[in-house]
Amino acid sequence: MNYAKALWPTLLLLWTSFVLTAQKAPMKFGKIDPSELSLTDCDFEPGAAALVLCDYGEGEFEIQGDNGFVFVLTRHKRIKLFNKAGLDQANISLEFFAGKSGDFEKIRNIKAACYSMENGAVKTTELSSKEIFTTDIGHSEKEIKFAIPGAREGCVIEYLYEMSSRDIAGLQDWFFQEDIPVLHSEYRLFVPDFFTFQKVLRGSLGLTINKENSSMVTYLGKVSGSDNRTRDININALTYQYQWAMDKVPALRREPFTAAMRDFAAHMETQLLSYQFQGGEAHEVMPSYEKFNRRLVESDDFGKAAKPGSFEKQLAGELAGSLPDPAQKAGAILKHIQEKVKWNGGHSIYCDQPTAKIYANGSGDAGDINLLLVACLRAAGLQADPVILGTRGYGLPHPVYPKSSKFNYVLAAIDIDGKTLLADATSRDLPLGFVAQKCLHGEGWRVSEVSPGWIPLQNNASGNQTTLVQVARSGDSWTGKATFKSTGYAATEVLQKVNNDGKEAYFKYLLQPLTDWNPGEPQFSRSDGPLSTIAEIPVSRDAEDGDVLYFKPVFAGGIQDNPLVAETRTWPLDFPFVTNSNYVLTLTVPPGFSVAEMPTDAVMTFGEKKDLVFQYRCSLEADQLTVISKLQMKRLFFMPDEYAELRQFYSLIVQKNQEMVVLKKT
Amino acid sequence: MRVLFFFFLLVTGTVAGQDFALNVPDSLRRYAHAVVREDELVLDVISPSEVESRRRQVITILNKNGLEHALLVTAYDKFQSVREISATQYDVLGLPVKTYRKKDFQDIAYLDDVTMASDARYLMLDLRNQNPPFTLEFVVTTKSKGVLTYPDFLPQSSYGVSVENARCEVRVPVAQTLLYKGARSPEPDITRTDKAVTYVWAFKNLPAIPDEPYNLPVSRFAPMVRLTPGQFEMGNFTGSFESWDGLARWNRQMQEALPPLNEKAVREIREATRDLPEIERIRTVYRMMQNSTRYVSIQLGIGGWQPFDPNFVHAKKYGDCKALSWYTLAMLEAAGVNAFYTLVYAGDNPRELDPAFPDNVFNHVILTVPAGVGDTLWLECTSQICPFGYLGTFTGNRNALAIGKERAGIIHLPALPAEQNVRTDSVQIQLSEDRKTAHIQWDAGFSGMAIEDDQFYVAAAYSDPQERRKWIEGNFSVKGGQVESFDLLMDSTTIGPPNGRVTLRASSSQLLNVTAQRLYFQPNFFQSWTTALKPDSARVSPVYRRFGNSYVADLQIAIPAGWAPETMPAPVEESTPFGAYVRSVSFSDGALHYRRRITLQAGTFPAEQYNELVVLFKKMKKWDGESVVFVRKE
Repeated sequence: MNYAKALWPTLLLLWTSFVLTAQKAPMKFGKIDPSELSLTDCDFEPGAAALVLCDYGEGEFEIQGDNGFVFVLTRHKRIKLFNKAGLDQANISLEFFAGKSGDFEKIRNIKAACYSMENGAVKTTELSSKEIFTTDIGHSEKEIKFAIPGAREGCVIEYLYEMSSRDIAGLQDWFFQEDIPVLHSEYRLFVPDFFTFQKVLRGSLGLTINKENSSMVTYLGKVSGSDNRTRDININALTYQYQWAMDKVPALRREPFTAAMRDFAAHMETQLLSYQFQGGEAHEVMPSYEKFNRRLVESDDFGKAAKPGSFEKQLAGELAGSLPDPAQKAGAILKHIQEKVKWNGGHSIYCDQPTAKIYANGSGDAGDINLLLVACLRAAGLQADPVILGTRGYGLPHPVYPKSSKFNYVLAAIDIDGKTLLADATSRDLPLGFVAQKCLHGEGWRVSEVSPGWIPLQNNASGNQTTLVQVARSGDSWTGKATFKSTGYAATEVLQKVNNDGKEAYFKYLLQPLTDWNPGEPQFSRSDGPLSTIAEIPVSRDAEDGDVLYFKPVFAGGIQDNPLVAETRTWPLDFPFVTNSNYVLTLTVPPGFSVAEMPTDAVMTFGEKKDLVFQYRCSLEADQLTVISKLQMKRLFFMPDEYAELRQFYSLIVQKNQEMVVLKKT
Repeated sequence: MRVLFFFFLLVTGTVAGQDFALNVPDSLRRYAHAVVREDELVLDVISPSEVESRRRQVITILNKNGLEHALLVTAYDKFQSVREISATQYDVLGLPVKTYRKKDFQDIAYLDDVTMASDARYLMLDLRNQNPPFTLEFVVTTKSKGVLTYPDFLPQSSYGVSVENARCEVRVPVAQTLLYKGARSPEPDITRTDKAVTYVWAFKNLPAIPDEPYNLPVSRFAPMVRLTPGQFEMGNFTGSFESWDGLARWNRQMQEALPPLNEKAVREIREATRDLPEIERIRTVYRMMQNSTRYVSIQLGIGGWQPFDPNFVHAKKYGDCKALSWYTLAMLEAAGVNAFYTLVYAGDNPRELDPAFPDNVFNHVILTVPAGVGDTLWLECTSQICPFGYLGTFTGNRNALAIGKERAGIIHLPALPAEQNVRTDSVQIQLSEDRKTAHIQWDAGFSGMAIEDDQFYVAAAYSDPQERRKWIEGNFSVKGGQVESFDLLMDSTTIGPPNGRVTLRASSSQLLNVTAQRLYFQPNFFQSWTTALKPDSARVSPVYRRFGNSYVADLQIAIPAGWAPETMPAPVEESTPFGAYVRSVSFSDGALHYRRRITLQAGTFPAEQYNELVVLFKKMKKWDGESVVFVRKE
């Protein structure tokens, strides 16, 4: 949405300029300090392959012809490359949204150079315009790529460009932190007072510069009226100047078991809250979630798309008309849409085609499919609303300040018998109440005229796995059966694996710990209500000779390796759903043998509230030996300072699962 | 009315001459997850630089495993454009469900982290979210202005796909020659007119080939017709596939059109290599190249085939494999060393080079450098950290075409034998006074191709301590242990195969499992064999391993007093055509000694021997997993 265009419908502006009461920029293109060239290591992160010496951005507003107000970011970045592993930093890629018009966003005035010491003198290699390539990458997006020439160990590279964007509602975030250390990152933003922006600092680092100034600035432009005569415009507006910087920012390194690393990176987010031109009315844009909610409800490509029309009414009638129960109605509609409309892999919250067309085409993105779902559910008389969210890889929206670009997925929320159930029509393996695992992420915003608000997405999300193994010895071999049962989200994971990689791959995965054993024909079945999957595999192996046999009871499952590999941890751990894993072995002690030694019982807990509970039980009744190894995880979030203890907890479980039963010939 | 119509279909099985109903015979269902009902390629050669082609494929996807074939892709670039493209989806009855036109295909650029620009794009239609079984008909017409070679006709290019009918038709003007070689194919039907000669090959009922571990490529089982032009013209350069020299000459034309390396650069190189013996001159040039360039790919127009001007590479300090190899060759010349620009197919699944049939089966360039009497070196010019003269899994053990100024020839790129590719892990353990903590000294050696194990040689080149630590934690984990100190080092030996080592100190309180009466310990906790294979008595493909390797593990641990051995794994010596396994465990003077060596050979083995490999791996896994058990002394 281009607010500026709505504001200046009759004016044709030719050019404008305004003067910045600028403080000197932290660096000037082409002026390299000899100390930058002679630097051999990053002092706050020794051994780094590269270091951002300075990343400097200036953001300001300009009037660009009949596009009205545009935001222009001038970016200048200078990087030191310490060694060969850092050379990739010299390959620059700039993606932007050109839009259908081709100039929604534009990049211009690209400059780049490399400086290195050669025989005691500074050698400069500059990028030529012939080495800048622009490629159309689809979905109205373009990519500019160039390789900074001359890059080698010990050199300093820098590049500079201007990007103008017609999207002034949500300006690009400024990241202070990235995957290499940063010595100095600075962003100066100049905002005329007719725009009010919300600025939020994300991540866990503090600013080393945080200043705000203001001064009067003149905006010039040429305007043509309805009589086709041009007039000069001269506007004086109070302009706020923000200056933010961070110094010696450590590199952000990926860690496993997180939702979105992006949320941890130190960055500044901005969102337009309102605007008011001199002499004009105040317009609120996105000051609160309530207003955001209203806007979505009224928009054609969201709220209106979820309103049931004649198409949805007819479809709902056919599918659910004769069903008595709201849950059955919802289930039938969900199942039908899952089968009829295929998810094309796209993430978005909007549906910009008529829902009937999405249905007829049989294909759509998350927004298309789930808004169609909501429309059909409502047509069947159910109380349903769309829920927007940011998926696990994408990031969490801010709890107070809405920004539409932070949401990339939609689900349906249905109120049945006093409970709110979620539904996701993008896959056939998600019955009522289940959503794609990437949606198990914090809270989503329920967009509704009646009951808008945040709803938790991870409540009641759980996955259970039970492995039952029965073995007995007959003659020269051990024979038995291993049964793997999954319910809840563990079952949806199994189904996804089976659908993506095939049943063979799933069985191969189950049989991995069982390689001493020969598997027979596996059987697989799924049942719904409640969702579960069962795989049964007969197993056998040769029995060893000898008077003393060692049998590891926890062999077909259980935790055998510590999932927490790294010894230290910087960021919190974040799991999508609580889990329960049970392993039960029953072994028939062969005739002629007795149990000489068996593992002792053990119970271990983690956390004050016993958030993780591990139980190991071994018992013998007549000739039936039963071993149970269970782990229950009730908590989803763990802080970095709990990591060492958590890792130790898992390694004790691994150790316990290695214990043996000793059988001796009597 | 509708019922009658369907009945009519089922009875006659055809509608308008097409039958895509799901009535595929059983012989074509075995091992198949998809069936090609019809595959027709028509090549119309207009001149040495112009070819039009039409390919129509109808494929029935039987089940979910065949869905990869529902991703319809066709590539195009500056020389080849797509005239028409369409796809139609049919249901199980063979009735059309939907037709897709060019506008429904996505147009995607081929770009990645190291590619700045490329003419190569592709049109793609992704129907993998449809529910099998269903049938797809895909028709593409292309026109080429600039021809290097013709596509080989492979009616079966994937495992698990059977073929009902396939046909290849090539029409060549009388003034030109078509070179062809069929494998497992009939002779073509040839018809001549005064204007052109037409060749037709037809195939029927080809059963699917299963994908098996350690197998030969599909092209070794499936029928294939190799096609090359007797005369071709690509980007103002002409050539012929009548001999390998024909392809070499085309490359030379493009190279001769390039300017020489500038005098200043030549002088610098001469200075740097003055008075050095030949091998040192080569080593110096290689090091200079590695320290001053990086890999960046720009494939535009003829630049997709012709190397960059070496002066561009010298100034910009980057290039792709063609540019970097040509630049290094120019530098070697300046140093008085002769080298050959060498074409090869790199990677895990190389296209096979048939010395008797010249064809463009290459995707990479390296240099061949004769050095001294009878010695040859090969140089990989796209890596800043590749050891000098090392080929490795990327380009080892396969044929290549070396192009010299006058001559060209097929050469074989070697690979180090199994006995020289050794991964060694040596562990010494001391227990603490209270016997609760094990102090571990772990020394690992990577020799020959073992430097690629876990990407060791790449990790050894990193300076970032956090990256190095992450690599160590991921590849040298000790149960319940803490790493106390470590080091990774590539040796800078200048003779023989590359090697490096890792040294590590760690401690763990969970290495030994002590119960009331017993002490359990798995001696080989650090290099335990884990690969397992499924037995297969109906195996089709010979067993093929391109490279051989060896693994050595040894351990010493002092067992505290008060424990007597109850079970000690017996010594093992197993020898098979695939390789050997030797292990010994002994206990004396309170110390446990463990030693184990595995050697697996490269080679091709009969399919019937596959189950022996399965059994060998199973035994290796079992033996490596064995524990010693001590019992408390009274």
